[in-house]
Amino acid sequence: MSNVMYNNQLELNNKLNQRKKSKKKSLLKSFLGFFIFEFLFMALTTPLLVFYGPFENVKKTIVGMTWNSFTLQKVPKMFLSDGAIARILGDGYAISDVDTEAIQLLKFGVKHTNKIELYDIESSNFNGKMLIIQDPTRIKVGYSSQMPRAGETTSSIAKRNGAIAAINGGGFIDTKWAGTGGAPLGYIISGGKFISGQIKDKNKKRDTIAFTEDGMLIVGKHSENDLKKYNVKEAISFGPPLVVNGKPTIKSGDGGWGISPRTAIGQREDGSVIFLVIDGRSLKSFGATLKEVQDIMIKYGAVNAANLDGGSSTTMYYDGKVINRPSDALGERSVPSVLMVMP
Amino acid sequence: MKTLVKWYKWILLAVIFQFCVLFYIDKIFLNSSATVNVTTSETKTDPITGEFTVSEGVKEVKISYNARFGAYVDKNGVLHIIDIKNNKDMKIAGLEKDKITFFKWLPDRDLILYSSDTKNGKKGVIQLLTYEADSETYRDYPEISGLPAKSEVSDIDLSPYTNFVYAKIKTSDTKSRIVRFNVMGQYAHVMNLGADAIINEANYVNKFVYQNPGEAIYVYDGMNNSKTKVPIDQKNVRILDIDHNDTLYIGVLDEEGKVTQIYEQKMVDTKLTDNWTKTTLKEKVPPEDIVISVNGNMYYLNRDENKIVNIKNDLKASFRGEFLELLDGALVSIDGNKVNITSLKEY
Repeated sequence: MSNVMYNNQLELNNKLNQRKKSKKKSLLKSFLGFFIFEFLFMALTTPLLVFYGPFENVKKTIVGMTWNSFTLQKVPKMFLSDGAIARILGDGYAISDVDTEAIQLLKFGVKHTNKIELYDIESSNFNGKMLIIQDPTRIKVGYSSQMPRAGETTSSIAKRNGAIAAINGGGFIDTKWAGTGGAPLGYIISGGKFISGQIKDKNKKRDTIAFTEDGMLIVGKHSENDLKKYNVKEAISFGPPLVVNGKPTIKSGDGGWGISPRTAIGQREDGSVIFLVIDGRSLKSFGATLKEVQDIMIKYGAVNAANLDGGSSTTMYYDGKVINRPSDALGERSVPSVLMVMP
Repeated sequence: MKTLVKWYKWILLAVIFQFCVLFYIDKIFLNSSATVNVTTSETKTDPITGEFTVSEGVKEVKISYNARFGAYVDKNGVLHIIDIKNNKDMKIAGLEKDKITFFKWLPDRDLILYSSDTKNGKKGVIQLLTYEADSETYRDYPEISGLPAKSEVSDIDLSPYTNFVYAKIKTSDTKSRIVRFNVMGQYAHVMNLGADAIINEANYVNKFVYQNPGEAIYVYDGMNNSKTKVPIDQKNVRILDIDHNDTLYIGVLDEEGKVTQIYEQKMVDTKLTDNWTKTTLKEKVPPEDIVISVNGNMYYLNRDENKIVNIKNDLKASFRGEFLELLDGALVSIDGNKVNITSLKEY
């Protein structure tokens, strides 16, 4: 009798164990199913939410970043028409056709001083450096000694010219990211002379970042004749302008170029010049949008400001060394031109 | 019905999660404000010559282009950087599971590229890392995984103008893979070669010269991914180097494998031609004893007399101990454990 009872008990225990095991198995199966479902569902729907959802900043940033990276242009194209992409980018684009007649020449007077102030820029998404140069007449355009064959690093151009500080300047042709930095986009004017990019059509307006003989910063699209009129001594081509006559050019959106390392230049009403670099493409600093750069410029008093070549070119040299963190693993990139501060 | 309800719940959860994440990115992450603090900087000067001591058993020592920093890997696989002026030895990598197996200074900046045998102890994973000695900054390229267990980087060449890096990963005793990294940190598998293949990259054009020993020399054009055989009227040849000005040097070998003649031609956007500048050597030299300086001077090593001899004019320069490398205007040698950097004075 007791044997039968014992066997029954054993059978019951076995059944319970089996049930427990099968419950465990089904729970595990259920969890696995849940994760696979969630993964597949989100993989399919997240791009739709990004490109068609209500998150405007996310949409503009993703479209801007992928559009400016060339190889990833097919990603937004898969979801959006060319018109829609143009609208998204255009909505945030800084105005590049600034009316040159409307540029107000500043009257800050010439006060030669050696004063330079260095600031750290810190925010939740990026880090950077800012230099304030009190005397704008000390700013010169430096250029690669190897042009048009190759560029030169910002620090090398600065050291060769005996500069105290420098930031990278104009852009260059960079087919398949194999550019040597030796083929500048637009023009380079240094010491009143065209170094490269002079064209026959003297009225053709091109992106400009220039300094007049008196140290006034000119930004926006200008022709060679305009530059002559302003008595420009130093100039490079890049853009877009971020602040003109004290007013921001990006009224809504993020500027349309996504998040990247940035270099920018600005001028305050008293004539002092702002050099700004924002590091990017690292976990410590993702990079900034054009709008964020514009906001910093306005916050620190810029009445005219423009974006310079960014990405892996972004470099700031000061007091004998590079003080920001260029994004490429090899450090500084070779560039065609820099804006430098002479002693 | 039960399944349908379950699926609704799961979809709802996913949608809530997605909206929360995107809302955070949209409203918080992509909105930022900047605060400003003042900092100060300091300046440094460059030494031209110098000396320092390395630990016992060190086989390879390399000096940065301006002789400000030296580097070596000790017997434990730790990469040391020496600040030559201040005689300061810093251990910068290989302190944990991974042992450093390859390192190389850049030709124009105090930045070293290095790689280890494993990645966090995991075999078959390769990663190139860099360390900028000036700013003490570490950077890295993406990992390459799924390689055979014994894989390690055996050579690297790069252009400081295009920032293209070509790395030779030795995957077995007989094979290697060539991978290329660009300025965006992207990498591509370019080709497979033998384990002992010689590789060199041009500085100003996106071209890569390679050769499996005993075979023909080829140029790979990175712009259109095409390869062309180098047009040379000799059968037994070997790549010697590419100088800073992109002149390619090729040694013509005799039956003993020694260099008897050097062919040189500048690499440009167009293909190489059969128009070579040729220099005949007065005495035949093993190819590893030919030294090409960054500015294109050709030397051979006279190990018996501890001298390097200028092939064009026979001028000599002496060094102490064993020759290590030739910098722009300086000779580097090792005498016991002491590394000497002396000015290149030809007489």
